Amino acid sequence: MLPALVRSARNGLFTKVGVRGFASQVSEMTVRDALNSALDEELARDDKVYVLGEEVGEYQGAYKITRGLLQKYGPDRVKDTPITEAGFTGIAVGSAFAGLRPVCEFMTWNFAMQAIDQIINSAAKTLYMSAGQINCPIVFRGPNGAAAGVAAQHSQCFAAWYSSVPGLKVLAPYDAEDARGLMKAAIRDPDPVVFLENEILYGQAFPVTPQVLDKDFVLPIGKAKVMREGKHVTLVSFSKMVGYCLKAAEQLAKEGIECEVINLRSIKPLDRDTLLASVKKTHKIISVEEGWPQCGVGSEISAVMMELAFDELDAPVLRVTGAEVPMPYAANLEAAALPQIDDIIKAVKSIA
Amino acid sequence: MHLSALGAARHKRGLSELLCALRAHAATQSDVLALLRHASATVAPCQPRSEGAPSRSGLARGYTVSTRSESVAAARSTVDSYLEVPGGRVPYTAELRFLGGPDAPIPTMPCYRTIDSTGQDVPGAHIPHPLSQDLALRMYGAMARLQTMDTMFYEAQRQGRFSFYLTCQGEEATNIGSAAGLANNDMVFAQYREQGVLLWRGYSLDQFANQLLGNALEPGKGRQMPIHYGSPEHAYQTISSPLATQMPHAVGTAYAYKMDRQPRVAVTYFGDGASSEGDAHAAFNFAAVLGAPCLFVCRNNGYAISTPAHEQYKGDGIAGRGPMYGIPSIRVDGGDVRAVYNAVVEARRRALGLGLGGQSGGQQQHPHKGGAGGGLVMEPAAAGGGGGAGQAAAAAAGPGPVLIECMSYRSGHHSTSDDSTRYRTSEEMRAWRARDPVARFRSWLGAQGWWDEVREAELRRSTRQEVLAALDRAAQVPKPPLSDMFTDVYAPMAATAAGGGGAAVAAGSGEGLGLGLLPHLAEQREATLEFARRHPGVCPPDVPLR
Repeated sequence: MLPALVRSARNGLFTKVGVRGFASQVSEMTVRDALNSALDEELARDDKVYVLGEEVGEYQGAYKITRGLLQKYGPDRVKDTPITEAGFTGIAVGSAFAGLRPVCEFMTWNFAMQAIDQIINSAAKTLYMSAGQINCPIVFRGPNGAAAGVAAQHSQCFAAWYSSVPGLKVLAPYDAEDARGLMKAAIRDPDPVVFLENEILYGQAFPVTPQVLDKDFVLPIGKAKVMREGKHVTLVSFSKMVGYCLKAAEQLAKEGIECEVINLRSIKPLDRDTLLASVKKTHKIISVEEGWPQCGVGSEISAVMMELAFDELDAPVLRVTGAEVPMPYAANLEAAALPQIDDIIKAVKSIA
Repeated sequence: MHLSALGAARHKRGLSELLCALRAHAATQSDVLALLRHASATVAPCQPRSEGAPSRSGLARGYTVSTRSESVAAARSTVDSYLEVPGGRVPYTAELRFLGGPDAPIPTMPCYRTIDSTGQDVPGAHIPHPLSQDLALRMYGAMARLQTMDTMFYEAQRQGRFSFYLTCQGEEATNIGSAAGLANNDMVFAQYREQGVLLWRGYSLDQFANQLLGNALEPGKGRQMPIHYGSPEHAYQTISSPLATQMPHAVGTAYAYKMDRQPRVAVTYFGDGASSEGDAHAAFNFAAVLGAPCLFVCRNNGYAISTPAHEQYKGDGIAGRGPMYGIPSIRVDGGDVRAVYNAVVEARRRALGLGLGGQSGGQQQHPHKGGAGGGLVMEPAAAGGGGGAGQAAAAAAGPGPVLIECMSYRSGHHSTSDDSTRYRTSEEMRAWRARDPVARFRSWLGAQGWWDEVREAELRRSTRQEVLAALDRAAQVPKPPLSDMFTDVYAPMAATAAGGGGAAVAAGSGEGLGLGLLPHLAEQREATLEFARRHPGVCPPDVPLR
């Protein structure tokens, strides 16, 4: 429809795009508003899209992501549900089987474990089990990973688990541009999409161009973005850790170490091409994630780099991850359990 | 006591403020009571919403609807004859009494039946939809074919022709009676013991055999284990193994139909055991809250593998739970095909919000006579006839779920992986086999003069031959090719283009994406096929590569 709006991974934020001469004026938008506006526009665009979850309607959303939507679209399109993740997920999946396009909110992805059978055994596998006959165009979304002081049962990162399941697409936006473009892509996609947001990022504002604000701004699924170019080390990450990597890169640049920062955006499918192109340039790669180390996203990146870029590597692939403990509550312990900017810097210096 | 002064202020103050003021004035208890009595006579209680007015929150009838202003008014109400809470209006009692449980069980819901165990009409039975000869013979034919097909496929599994089978012996009437009461396009979310529904809708013996053998003709491309049928063309969702997960699915689909204003219901079948799953509770509760036109058909066949029903639940079965969710419910003799049929036809009408038109004559929906597509025209709620206010109220309540519990007995083993003689006696099984629903209906047909032994023998003989022939044909068909293994993990890209400005998936060949092969899957497929070509001995001989 509007191919010029689909960004290539290598364009920086301020590159002019093709034929359309957009003004270079840039405004700011929080991730919360980015998600809200994306949902709003997609609800308006396709009347099969609807939102359901706990507190999404009258309460305006537990994190206010769905603010104003009930008032605008009514209770048929924005449904407050009883407290049963398994129940409302199953119902959303069933409605998707029948042709609706639900956006199913989990208050946090931790609670989605009560519905994980519906996500995997029903949503992810049904297209395959039915040999292509039954689609499930559903988006599961909610905050993932650590917040602040919410401890073990509210802080787990689920990127690794869901990204191992064939049939799911797994997206993790970082900034407002990601939030808008990936949310629209997810809603328009015919497959079930796991959309991992981050509570801390909701309130953070990022610059957005008029292009990003266009109602048909859609990012490609399966394509990572190079946030910052560099030649010494590649830092690959997703969600909040992208911001940490960018800050680490700024500090390291002062010491003459140029980091290339890659924002995965899509955990499944994983954009191996962008990673490989970067490693061919830097020959060193570090994966940064909040989640636990064993079988994390970094494990997959390590395996892929070893299999496909063994000869390019001048150092082992390093993984900076969360500590292998259930998240503690005390603020000092929580900080110690999560990667900090200094941890990233230390990792880079150990191989740079 | 300055009652008048306080009384003057009462209109401006809430009850708690009033009580504080009274305490401050050291009022006596009788002063307070007098004031309250005075206040209750003049403060207008929340008025119940009229029956039939659409409720914003969709609460079941019998509760007052709480909009925000009404909730606030309720919180301030000082009326003493009932309690007004966000969930509704609750009358008070001075009695301390526990209801339900082993000490004070609620009455067992009776079981609707129209044909007794010997095949005779139950005198005075209420039969809103009598069976014509044509329909009765079609039903019997399906039940007999189902029984024969089940027996033969079971035996074929024992002979090693495929890995797994399960029969619905003892539940033929539940399968066929319910199927006949539905429209052809009512979406079925089955558990796994409802092959009779597929058979009724026209799934052929060849299709059954192909699925069981997982060959290349099987629409499921050999992806699913045996008996996990699925057929969108017959409005039958592909069977999913985890129990009861299909129940919320059905509610979601029913909700989609309601939003789209389609005159269809979603039907979900589940067993007595599956009803213990959390998903069952969520589905019941949710369907009632959403007003989803969903039929819940519970096959209570007495066993969940080896767990007898009396160890599965302590309440009044599954039908007994329905009313507690706000769902109209009925218990039916699952061995009486006419009773099942009538209950399902009525339940379907009720689910669509057409009201219970049982007693009226002409304006019935007869799904089995529907056109090939099975789409029904929504008729207005049953005209004339008896029932009056109750039915009018039912019609005005709009679409909603209905629960039917079919009581029967699982005559066969749970599956070919089970030997039920280890947990039940042969006497018990023999006693129930004697009440075989197929035989019971055959007796009834004989009493009508519509069936005889000659036709019976011929039907059985020809069905046996057809099943054998179908199995033989299916065995000749090669398995699906290896190249199919990686397709359908994701939807083909053509589907996204239809969405407009769609979510393009980066890279990957056009042809691959057209098969839903994302780049990593296309690579894996190529690597697998390459390996198989280089090592032909590794690949089974009846699996082509392509």
